[in-house]
Amino acid sequence: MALFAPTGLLGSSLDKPTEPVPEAGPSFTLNGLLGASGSSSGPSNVFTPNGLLSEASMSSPAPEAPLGAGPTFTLNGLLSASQDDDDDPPTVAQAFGIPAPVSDYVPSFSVKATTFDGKTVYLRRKPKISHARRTVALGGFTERMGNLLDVPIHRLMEGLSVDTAAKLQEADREAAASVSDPEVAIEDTLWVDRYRPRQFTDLMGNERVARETMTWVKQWDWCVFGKTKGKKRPRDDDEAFDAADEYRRPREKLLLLSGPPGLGKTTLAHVVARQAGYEVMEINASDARSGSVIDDRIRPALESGCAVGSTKPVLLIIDEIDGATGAGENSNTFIHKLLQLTSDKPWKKSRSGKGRDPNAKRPILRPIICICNDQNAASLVKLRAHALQIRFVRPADIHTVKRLREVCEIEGLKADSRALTTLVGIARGDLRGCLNTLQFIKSRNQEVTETIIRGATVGMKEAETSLISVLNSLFTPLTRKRVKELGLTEAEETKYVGRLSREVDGCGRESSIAVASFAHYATLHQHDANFSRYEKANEWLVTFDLLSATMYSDGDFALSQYLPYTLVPFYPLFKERSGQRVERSQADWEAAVQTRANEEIYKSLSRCLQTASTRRGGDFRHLVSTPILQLEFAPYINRIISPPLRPVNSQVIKPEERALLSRLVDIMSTLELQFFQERAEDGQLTYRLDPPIDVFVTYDGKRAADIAVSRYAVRHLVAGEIEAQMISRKVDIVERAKRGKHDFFGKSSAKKAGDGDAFSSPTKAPDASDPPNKRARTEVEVVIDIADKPPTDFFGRLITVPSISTTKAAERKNVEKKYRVSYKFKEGNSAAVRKPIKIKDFM
Amino acid sequence: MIIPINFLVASTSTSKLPPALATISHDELVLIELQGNFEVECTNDRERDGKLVGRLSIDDAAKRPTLMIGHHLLEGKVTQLPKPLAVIRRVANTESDAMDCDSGDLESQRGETSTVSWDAIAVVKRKIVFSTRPMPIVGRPA
Repeated sequence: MALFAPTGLLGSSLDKPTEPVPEAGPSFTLNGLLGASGSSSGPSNVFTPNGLLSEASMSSPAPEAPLGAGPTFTLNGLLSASQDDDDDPPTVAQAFGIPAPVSDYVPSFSVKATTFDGKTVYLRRKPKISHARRTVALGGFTERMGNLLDVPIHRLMEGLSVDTAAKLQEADREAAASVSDPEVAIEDTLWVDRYRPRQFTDLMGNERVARETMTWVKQWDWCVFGKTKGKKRPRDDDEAFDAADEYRRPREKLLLLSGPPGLGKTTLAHVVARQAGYEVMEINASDARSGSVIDDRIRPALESGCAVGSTKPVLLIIDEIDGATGAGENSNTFIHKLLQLTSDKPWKKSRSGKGRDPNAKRPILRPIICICNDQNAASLVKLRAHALQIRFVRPADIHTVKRLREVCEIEGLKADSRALTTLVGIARGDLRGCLNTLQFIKSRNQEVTETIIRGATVGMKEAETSLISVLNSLFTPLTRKRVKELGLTEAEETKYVGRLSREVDGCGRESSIAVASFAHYATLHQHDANFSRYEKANEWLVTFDLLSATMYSDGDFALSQYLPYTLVPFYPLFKERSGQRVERSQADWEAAVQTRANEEIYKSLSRCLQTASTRRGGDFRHLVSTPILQLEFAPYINRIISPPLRPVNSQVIKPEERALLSRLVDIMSTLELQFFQERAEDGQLTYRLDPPIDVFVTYDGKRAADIAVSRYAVRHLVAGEIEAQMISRKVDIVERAKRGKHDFFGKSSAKKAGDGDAFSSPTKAPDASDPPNKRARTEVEVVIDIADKPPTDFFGRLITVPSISTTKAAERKNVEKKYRVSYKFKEGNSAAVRKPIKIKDFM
Repeated sequence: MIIPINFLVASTSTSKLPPALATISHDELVLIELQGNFEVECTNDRERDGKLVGRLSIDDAAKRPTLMIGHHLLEGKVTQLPKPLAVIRRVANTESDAMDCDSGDLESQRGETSTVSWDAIAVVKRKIVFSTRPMPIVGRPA
């Protein structure tokens, strides 16, 4: 029994008790004895402890009892039990009194080793090896036993599988136990938060986006941290600074990050801001959506430059800015105020140097990052012009899956990559959604398999329903891949109304979809003899139009929920698997833009005409009215201003050509049409007509045949002449203004006559050929005239009048001195006191 | 005290007023009431005697009397006096009035006390009230 003490020791280190067994040579025979169940007399002493031991492990082998006789039974029990608890063989060895293995025994989980310089190192032992060796040993064992096997092979295999299953379960339980302890503490945090990137290098995918954002934030360094800090090395992008800005802020004071949800826009902004040394102030614009927020919260924070109790400068992040107000023309919206905030001019130093105006708005010297999902939102129209836009795109699924697998490993969640790929596919790259789903699955102690993922993602938000994607799903059936991703059955796949109407509704731009469908459906080539499909489509479109028109005109918005359903029928009518992708037709938009641009040109032309007509006493006023300007004036003026001129020097020009030229110059300067020099993309100089009325005679880049293409040299000549004329006109005006008040009006009558002469007969070539000379001549005449005239005052009246009036005034003064009666009215109530007076007093 | 007043027979034969004012009355005296006072500028007091104060006329369109003083135009209205007023003139009683026995009696009775008598020369029954604020008229010689 003294031997039994080490046995107990061995038993306590139950993990790998098999080690001593193969090492101990003599124990092998014993083993053989045990396995063979040889009926030897020797082992009787062995048998007793064996029996004792097997009794301890009797519970499991008990069902196999009816297999054989007493000794075999115990042995058998040993065999099967040895897989569970391997303390028998060592016990046997111990029983034989072999102490060697005990002294040799090393703690099985580590091996002690000594390094070259004498340090002791414990090497971890891999646990699997022993299992393998044992099974091998077992295999060899049974093989060797051959037909001696009393347990049929299938039973042994069954026993093995049960065993492994139990083992796996145990491992599972252990893992669960090890994880569950810390989990209790941290389960209240979302995985999304726990695995949020903390550093710039943690950011996944979208490296370009991250870098661009960082670059923009870094451009503020000069302004925020002063010139010394950001000057580590001169960069090429220094020209991104606005030269006019004394604070050297980036040209765009706002950064607009846009992209589908869950890709990490907010995280990126936070990480970049922290990395660049800022304190983040975040405002969710969908909560605080009114313009007053800017004044109440944002402006103070930005002006003070840093948050309360912090030494770092503040960086403002406005999240979900597409939820803010800003669509209208109202000047009180969030967006409008924000733009005002950023576009405030820096302080102007007052001229007298008295210091700064305390009421002036201070400039914003801190970066602002705006985040939105839809960069084309109506409320952001104004913002987009002033912001640097960075667009997030979905990173490659592999990266997302990789990240998810890492997370699963850390969390001890068993997930095969196929399931994860499915998850990413359903979520369309939305990492946040994926993580939330995984945590949800984990919280229910499930494994991550495809079916579970399907079940868990049923309610997941349809991420991105852009106009194009909606159109594509309207006109093309679901791809096989998508069907697989969604895991739809055949029957489910054919149900489209709910799916499509939800999608159309989610997009929220029914009218755009209707317009695009209207543009697209006719391009599809369906074999349809009697056009019944098109007819039906037309009917649905009419229905849509009817409903939406009623809705918008009568304000009956209860109809809006029916609108998506009127667009769904395009799917059964026109779905085409091989059909080309729906290109959003830009034709209507382009036409609208073109029209607006051309109208602007017409407007400026009519302005020119109006100024010309006021200068010329209403000569061209009839041309300004709407149809005449477009139909009768603009086409012909283009022909008029492109006469056939040779590009020669104005000094050697022929007389008739000179006449033509002067006429042309006269017309153009009168209408204020000018040629501006411009450098084209290829570096060639061209002359551009301004206002560019030549667009009206240019179709698809081709000019009308009867209009001569005016060449560069000709335009150069004409431009020079026009400029000279314009300058002389300006000088004339200045001179007129300079020339005192007395002669101004006196002259003007004579001048008008001269002007009228010059302008009303512009065909007279010699007359108009050198206007400056003529003008000078008239001026001389006028001066002489004025000298003869009696002096007049500013209004052209004779100046003798004042002297007369002064004499009169003097006279009046004399009269006044003599006698003058005036009446002084006394208003108000009479406060007189009635008092009886006797007549006697009068007499 | 009894004051002897003689009421003379009013002569209605000739109109004494200028024709512009004939719409008010022929020879009847009319009181003019002004809310305010005149300010007369002159070198000495003598000068103002017999000078023009203003022009009274009847506005044809409005049927109202107007008074033009200096460059102020006043508009007024004609009202009845609640109590008529008499304009009396003091007559020195130096010559004998024996022919008139009645008055002689009276005067004989108090001959020693009073030697004057009073003649009522007119009775004022109406007045013209100018109570409104005067309108300044520009560009007219005062």
